[in-house]
Amino acid sequence: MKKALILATTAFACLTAAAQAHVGVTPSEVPGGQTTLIGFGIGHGCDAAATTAVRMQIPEGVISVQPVAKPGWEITITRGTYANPQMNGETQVTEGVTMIEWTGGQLPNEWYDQFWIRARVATSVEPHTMMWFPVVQECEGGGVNRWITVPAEGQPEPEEPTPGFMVTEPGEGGHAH
Amino acid sequence: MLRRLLSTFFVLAGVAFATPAFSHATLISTEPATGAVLAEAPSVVTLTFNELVEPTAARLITADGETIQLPLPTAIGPDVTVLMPTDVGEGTHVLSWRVVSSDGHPIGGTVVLSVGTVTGTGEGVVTSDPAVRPAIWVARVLVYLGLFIGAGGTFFAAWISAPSPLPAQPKRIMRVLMVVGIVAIPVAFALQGVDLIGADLGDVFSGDALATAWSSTYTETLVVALIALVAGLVALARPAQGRLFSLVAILGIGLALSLSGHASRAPPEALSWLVVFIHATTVAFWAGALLPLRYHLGRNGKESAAVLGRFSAVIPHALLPLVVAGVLLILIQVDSPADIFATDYGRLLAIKLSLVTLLLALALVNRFRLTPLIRRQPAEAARLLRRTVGAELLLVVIVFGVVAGWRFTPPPRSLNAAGSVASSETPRVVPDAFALLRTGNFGASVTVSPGGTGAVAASAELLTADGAALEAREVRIALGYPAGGIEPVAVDAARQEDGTWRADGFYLPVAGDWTLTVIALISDFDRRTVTGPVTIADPASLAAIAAAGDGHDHDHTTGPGVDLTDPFQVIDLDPVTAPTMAMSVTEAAPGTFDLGFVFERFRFGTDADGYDHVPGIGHAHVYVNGIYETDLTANAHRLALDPDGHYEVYVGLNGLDHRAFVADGRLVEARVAFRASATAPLGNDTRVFDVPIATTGEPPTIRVRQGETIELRLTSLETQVVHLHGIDLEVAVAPQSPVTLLFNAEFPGRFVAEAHDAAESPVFFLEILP
Repeated sequence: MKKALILATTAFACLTAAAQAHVGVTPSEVPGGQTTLIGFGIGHGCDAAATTAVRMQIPEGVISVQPVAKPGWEITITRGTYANPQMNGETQVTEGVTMIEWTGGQLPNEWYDQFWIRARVATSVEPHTMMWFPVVQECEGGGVNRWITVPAEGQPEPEEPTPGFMVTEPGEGGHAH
Repeated sequence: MLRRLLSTFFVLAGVAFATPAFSHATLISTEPATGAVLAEAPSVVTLTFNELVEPTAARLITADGETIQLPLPTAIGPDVTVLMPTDVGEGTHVLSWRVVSSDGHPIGGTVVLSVGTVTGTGEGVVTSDPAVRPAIWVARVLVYLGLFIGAGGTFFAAWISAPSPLPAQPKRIMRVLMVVGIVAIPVAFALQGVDLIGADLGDVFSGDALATAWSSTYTETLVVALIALVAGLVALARPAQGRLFSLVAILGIGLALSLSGHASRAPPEALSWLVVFIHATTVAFWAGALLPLRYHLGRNGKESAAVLGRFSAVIPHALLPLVVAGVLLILIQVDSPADIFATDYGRLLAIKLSLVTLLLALALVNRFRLTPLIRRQPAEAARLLRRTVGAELLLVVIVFGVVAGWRFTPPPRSLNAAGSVASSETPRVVPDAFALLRTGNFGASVTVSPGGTGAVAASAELLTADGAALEAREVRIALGYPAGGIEPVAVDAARQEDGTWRADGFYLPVAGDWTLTVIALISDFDRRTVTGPVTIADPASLAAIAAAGDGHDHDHTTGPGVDLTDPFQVIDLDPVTAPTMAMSVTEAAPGTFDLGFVFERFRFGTDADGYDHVPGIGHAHVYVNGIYETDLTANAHRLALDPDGHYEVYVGLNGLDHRAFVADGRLVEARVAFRASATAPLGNDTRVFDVPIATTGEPPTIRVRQGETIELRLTSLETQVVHLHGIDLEVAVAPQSPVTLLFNAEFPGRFVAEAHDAAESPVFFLEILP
């Protein structure tokens, strides 16, 4: 009985730890072709050290990207040419933001914060595909969390899964702006 | 206790009944194994013994050197489960355990476990109080002297000496010995407890020690010994009831010694018990007689001559069973004469036997020379006899000292029962294990060195999807054994000068198919992971292959890794009658590769053929990229592989005893390394070239046409790793193991094949003409 209790406690601890360990994405579904506000939630630092920088790669197919201003943080944008041209309605888009970096801030391990972008899923992206946003989180003391492992179907959840959202049919829910 | 006495009664009554075979317990295995490095502290550690045991103590000495008393482990059958604390931190910890086996002797040991990282060897952490053992030995000798010289002497006094009363001097000595023996019994009891829980001498009267001692079989011995000593004192004090009480005393001695100890627990237990009983009882009679006899001889006169006469008439009837029982005990306890000098138990036995031989020689002199003399020259004979009997007495005391030393040595019988475990530690050179891991965008060629259980290192060469070298920022390598519940342990790898990534410090406790994972951070946002099996060998099973033939599902050293001079690995066959084999590889459809075989003078063995080598019969094992694929049972085998990749197929012939066939200095095997591509199937219109590999002289040039399938048969007089650039095939070639390269000449160009020696010598050129 005692052993069972210990096991149960351990299992519970693992579950809750796993739930906190993600970089969360709001919303989890984004309709194609609509400008949407997308937030990335950071719920902890690296081994209790405060977060000082967040880097995010923008996947191909996510266009018209703008970071939302964030007091206390410097924001750097990297632009680049897409490997495959994307369609924004009738317009072809060949380049855009490929990476956003938030630096100079300080997010204590115990606090939660969201890093927002405004963006649009290209109309050339098929609905029901996942858009993955690899995130690197840097902390005081040199600690790094790399949320860059894309979860594979049928595989156990990776330790540091890449945040992402599902693309839905245009006009199918989501927050249009 | 009561049950044991009852069973004693039944044995005495001559009722034969089956009892479970008890013996000196030996640890067979632990889970996790000692030396294991675990990702997390285990919640329990299981110890498996060769028989039922009773746990008496468990302590954990943590990496910080702190000692934690663990709750008393539970035993279910031969498995003892130790509940570990929940807050065990990182580092190397030592679990110290003690159990008592059914023969009453405690055994103890340690399990070394590391959580996360290894911070020590765990050796020398557990120390027991060095004073405990000598104290136990002294207490034992004192109890023996009280029993055999004291209580045993009362039997002589009442049954042989009577009606002549004992002289005052031996009577006083016997009384003192018995009283000392009675005092020594509680001391021996407490010391037993201290030894059982592995405590210090200072804890001799602690509750734990006494409670533990109470549960051991030695307690029963001591209680009966106490009864025997009290009966002896009564017999001495009240000569009128001397016969009855001295009989109780001498039977008590026999019973006491047969209730515990190695010998009385040897199978068949009922017989062993009886033999110990007879041996102890007759020893008590003989040894007990010596002291009073010596003093009787100090007195002149007919009375002492009569006593001596009665003794010499009776003693052969006691000596014969004594010696027969003694010999039987030796036969039970010692499996082979070699054990006598190879084990501490045997050496003590040898000393005892020498002393006993001397004793018997003295006894014979007494019986056949001096005893007849006493009628003719009473004074002279008595003087001589006094001396020889005194010498016998001294020898008997020394023998007791030796016998008390057996308490600390398990008999060869028990050691041999554990022998299969102990001898498996034989050091042995284990070949490296290889694994080629691939996913869609990432590959790793990994060497685990050595490829056997124990401490290993892993080296990874990172590859792109098309086999080119891949650079990385960071690499971690993990090894786990899910089948055995061993969580992956990940180690940061360090980049070596040659571009490979090396991770040290793995400890693999068990053999089997381990899961190998290579995690490479290629760039800031690009981390790639590849997982696959790697086969870890058991060094002991490699050694046991030739000796026993241990079934069909273990692994073989293949190709260049086989040592032709090792008779455990190979059978050298007559080249004329040896089996031969040839293998062809054709691509029936993209990704479907058909292996075809031609055997001569060979057939596949079945279980009915047994496990001993029979010429012309055996197994053929198929390996793909070093991983066991199947046992061949027909002349064809189909492989389903990624249509775009590098593969090496190895098929070796092994005898029924699993040794590899060798003829004329070459393994009877076939090795084909092939480069498959989705564009054109392999194996149509094949052109064959024989290519001897040499690192000296002018490298040959092989000219082929684009679109042909090329087969290069490489042979070499020395072991070389050859890399054919462009085609990107890499193989090891050895004198005993030629190899064939198979590929399509897809792109025109001139490609070099280099040996991976210090000079990267070119060994041949391949020109593909458009």
